[in-house]
Amino acid sequence: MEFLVFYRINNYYVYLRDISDPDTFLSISSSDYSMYHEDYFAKYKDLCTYQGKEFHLDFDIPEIDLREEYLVARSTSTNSDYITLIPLSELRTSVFGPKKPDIIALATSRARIIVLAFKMAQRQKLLQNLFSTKTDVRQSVQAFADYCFFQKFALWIYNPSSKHFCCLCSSHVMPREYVSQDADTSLYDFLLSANTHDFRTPNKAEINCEYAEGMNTLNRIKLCFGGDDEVGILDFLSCHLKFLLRERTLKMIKHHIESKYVESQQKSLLALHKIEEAFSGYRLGHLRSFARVLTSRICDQLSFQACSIFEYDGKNNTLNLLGVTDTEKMGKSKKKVTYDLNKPTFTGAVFKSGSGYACSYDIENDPQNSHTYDETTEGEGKTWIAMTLRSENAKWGILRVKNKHNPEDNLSLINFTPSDFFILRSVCIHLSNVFSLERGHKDNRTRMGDLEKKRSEVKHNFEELKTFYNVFLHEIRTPISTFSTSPLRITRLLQAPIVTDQIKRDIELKVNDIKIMGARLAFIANTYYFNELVKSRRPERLSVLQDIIFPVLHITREYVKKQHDVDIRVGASSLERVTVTGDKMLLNIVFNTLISNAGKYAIGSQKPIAIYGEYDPSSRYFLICVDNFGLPIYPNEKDLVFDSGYRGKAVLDQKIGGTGIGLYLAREIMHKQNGDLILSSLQDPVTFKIKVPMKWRT
Amino acid sequence: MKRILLVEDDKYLSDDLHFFITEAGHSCEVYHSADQFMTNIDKLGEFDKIILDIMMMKGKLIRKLDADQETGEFLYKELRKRFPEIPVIVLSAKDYANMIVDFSDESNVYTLRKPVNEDVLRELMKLIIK
Repeated sequence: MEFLVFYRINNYYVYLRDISDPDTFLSISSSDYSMYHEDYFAKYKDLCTYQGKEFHLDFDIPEIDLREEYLVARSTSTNSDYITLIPLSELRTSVFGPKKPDIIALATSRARIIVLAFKMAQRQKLLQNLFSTKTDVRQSVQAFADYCFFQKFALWIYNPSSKHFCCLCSSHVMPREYVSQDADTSLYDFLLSANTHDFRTPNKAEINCEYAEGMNTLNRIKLCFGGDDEVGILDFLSCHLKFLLRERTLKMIKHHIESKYVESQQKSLLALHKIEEAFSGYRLGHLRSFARVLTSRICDQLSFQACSIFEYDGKNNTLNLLGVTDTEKMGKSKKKVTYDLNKPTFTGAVFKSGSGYACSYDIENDPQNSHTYDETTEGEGKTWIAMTLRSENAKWGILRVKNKHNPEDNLSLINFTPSDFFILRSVCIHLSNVFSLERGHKDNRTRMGDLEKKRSEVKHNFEELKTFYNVFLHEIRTPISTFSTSPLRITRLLQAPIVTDQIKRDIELKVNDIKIMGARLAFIANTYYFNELVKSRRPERLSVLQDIIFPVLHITREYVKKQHDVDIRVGASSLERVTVTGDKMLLNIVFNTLISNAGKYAIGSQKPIAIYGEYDPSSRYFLICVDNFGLPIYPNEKDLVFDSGYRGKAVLDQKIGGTGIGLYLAREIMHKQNGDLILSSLQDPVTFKIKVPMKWRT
Repeated sequence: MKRILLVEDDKYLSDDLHFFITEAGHSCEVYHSADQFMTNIDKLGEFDKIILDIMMMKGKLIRKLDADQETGEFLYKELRKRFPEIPVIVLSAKDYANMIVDFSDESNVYTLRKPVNEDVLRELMKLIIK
């Protein structure tokens, strides 16, 4: 028996083929069904008849016989609403065939089976699509669109950060997958309205941007995702006029898609968690390497094609690239990249602005399109977010991302989502804290460096003080002892009942000893602080004998004779009438050093210390020579004797006390006097020559 | 009256110390070098006390000294080999903690620090009398 079944979906009837197997229905796409508005069947009451030719069908149903008359059998229940068209020819039975009511019952019963099979197939398809483990939001919306026989759909998510509606998913390719300024007016209107559902014909703007082209009905559902600003709009479009979603179906779709979206956002939180994990690996002082790791992690978790971090250089007013990951490189750029904040750039504008971030869905056509640096992306850079890294009182830099690719195919671009902004904001807060810590660390390092420098200075000063103390202790013990014992001795002598001539001579000798020791102490002090003296002293014309030699011998000769049992002989003929240029006190110090050394090291020598002079071959210098016939200097020590702290082997073997800085200081003094101190003979005698300029040259 | 031996190469200091020791009624002989000490070492038992400087030249009679050993430390050890009981007053500018011989552990040894000021001199005279 041939009959036709029309099953009601929303306010349309869909023609069902005579199939009782749900699995067969599963394989039929919703676009393959013929749909008829309810108004078409409204005029036909139950069990009325009409001619096949009266059908005004959108397209041919081969089963319809236009010559035939059909009986309309309506079956209406809560869950099913369908019409069975029974050919009257089936009802004109013979006397011996089934009766008309039986035929009607059979047909409607058969129709019911077909409807049930169809519904089962539809539900099975829906459930399979909704609850498969890999079903995402898009697939859920697609499943509902198929179930409800919509041809097109789009899910818009309102991004409160960028104030745009971003298309999360759609059945068709959206231009750049964001809403143009004209078309999104209806979305904003619906967002701001109190309605939760809208049903209308698509407007001109929607049709013009090809979104609703060919569609005659727009069903719009408002979605809430929990937070105050978290809203979305779900559009279902149908090519049929007034194709309206039922209230019950609408509620089911709304609840499911809201849950699915929230569930998908959980994955975003996982991405945030993974990115935040990178911060646990951060170590102070390793900002650059951390920035590289972080950009790589951000790209990986949020499916960006590029991410870069710029650090602000306050001194030069620039933003300098710290780390970058893009389709070509991970973490590191071979070239140095700098944004000059004095020049107008997109990134610079974001840094300087008070808003803290900027987003562009169309970099190519945006004004101010000057990117000093473009990360490498698949194709042209299309979308872009830049966020300022800032703390309460400071701006540290910029984090920038480009092109979010579809993680499913890694090829197509999709829009930034609100969760992208949320995650990036969170990352920027953490990163700003890192910069702040780095600044503190740098300041601490500087302070530590200063402290270390101070510590070194203090240590150096302490060492100097120790050296000074050691040197002085060694050199001044005799003078200090004399300053104590000699006055006491004088006092005791004066306490004698009769102060004899001998006692007077003794007192004179002691007074002389004190004088000598005082002069020696002055020499020692001046030697050690010659650096300060040099600054204040000025060269003058000096007589070698009168100004340099005799003042020293006046004190030192007696000392050397008493202490070391060696005399000093002066070759006056080679020294008289010779004038040189230099500072008297400093030259006295140098000469005194040589004489004191000569006396100290003249052990076992029977010959006196000899002092004489000679002219330097250039005639620009005069050489005051000191010969000593005591301990030798070994050949390998020739250059070492002038090193600070060095003591010759012969001297050390004899355990003669000293600090080894006398010759070092003496030479330093001579160098500052534009002269020199030379060792010209190593034994028998050991000869030192003081080279003094005849004339002063600046 | 004590017989004192003063071993001190600083002639200015030894001159003054000799004055104070003799002025106090003691006899005082002065050796200015290690060579003098070593030459007369077997006769050192004649003295009641020896005042010994630590840092002085090695001279010719002492063959070799360790790098850290001062001449006076060597002389002390040589003295003790022969005369373990004779009191010694050690006089030195060097820190005793840096010496090889731990004088604080030795018996019949007293230590004084240079430079010799009034207090050190007073202490020295007390030790001579003691």
